[in-house]
Amino acid sequence: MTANAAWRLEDFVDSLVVELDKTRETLAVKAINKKLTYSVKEVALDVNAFPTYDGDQVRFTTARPGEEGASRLTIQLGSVTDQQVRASSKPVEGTAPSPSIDELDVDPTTRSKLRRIGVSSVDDLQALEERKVNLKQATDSALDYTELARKIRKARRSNEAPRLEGMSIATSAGRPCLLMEGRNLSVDPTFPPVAVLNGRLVEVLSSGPGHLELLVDPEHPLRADNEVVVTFDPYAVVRVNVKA
Amino acid sequence: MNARIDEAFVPVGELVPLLLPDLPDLVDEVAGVRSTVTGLEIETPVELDVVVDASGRVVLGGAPPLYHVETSWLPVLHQVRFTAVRGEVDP
Repeated sequence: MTANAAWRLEDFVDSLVVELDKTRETLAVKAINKKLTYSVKEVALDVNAFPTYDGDQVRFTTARPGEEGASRLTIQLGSVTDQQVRASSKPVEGTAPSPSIDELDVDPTTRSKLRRIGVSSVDDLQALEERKVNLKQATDSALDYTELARKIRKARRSNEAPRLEGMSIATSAGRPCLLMEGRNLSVDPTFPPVAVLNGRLVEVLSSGPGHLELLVDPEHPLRADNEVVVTFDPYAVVRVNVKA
Repeated sequence: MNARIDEAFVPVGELVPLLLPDLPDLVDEVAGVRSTVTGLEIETPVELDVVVDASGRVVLGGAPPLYHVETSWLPVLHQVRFTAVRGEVDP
């Protein structure tokens, strides 16, 4: 007999949703042979379970025969079309999706404390900051926005990591230069990129999200093998080897 | 290793279609009237087997009450309710 392990509500609901998807698939297959079929619109499940709190999370244990006093947990699932989901969750044009706090480089205790006050994404955190909520008091821990802001920027940058798609040798105003092309290269207007070519600092002639132009010093021309290190911002450093 | 539900249960995803009766149209040829079931609301007690694997993933098994005998330890009956709408599908 399997042990009666405790489960988290979100895991239970996830499983229920997956099962209902299978139900819909089964009914769709049945519809191939039968012209008339059913579609399940609403499902509710009452589960008799015992909630427990371990100091961090609430978990539930399914009631077993002979156990009395269980709580009844009602989970009600409605249905919605894909189009309705798209319409109601359309992101604002030009903004990247907000990273989840799971992506933040914070210890599990801090993450748990943030979750407990309803913070599940970086946007939630910034909304609290705008309302001048004292995080230290709200979470009873040494959280501060400056440190979190740094981690938020890091998380956002990892969501939009620089992607180098090509390098070529070009000229700019008659001077030789190395052109780097790609996506999300220099995206922080407050931080001018810094580049090192074969161990020497080189001038960045121009930069943007799609390109970076490095001046090649005529006294130190490109060699057969070259190492280019570019710091696009404090959270994005790229090192590439270029064969001339 | 994947968590497995008890052999007496079926995955909840399979249970719901099993609870939907395949009702034929009611036809009165003399009167020339045909009645069709257009929807069902079903509420029934079920036994659940809730299994949690090592990663915390929950696997749900369900079955209508398995035994119709009174035993010293009665099973815990949960409740499922669902609304199904019958419709014609595009060929």
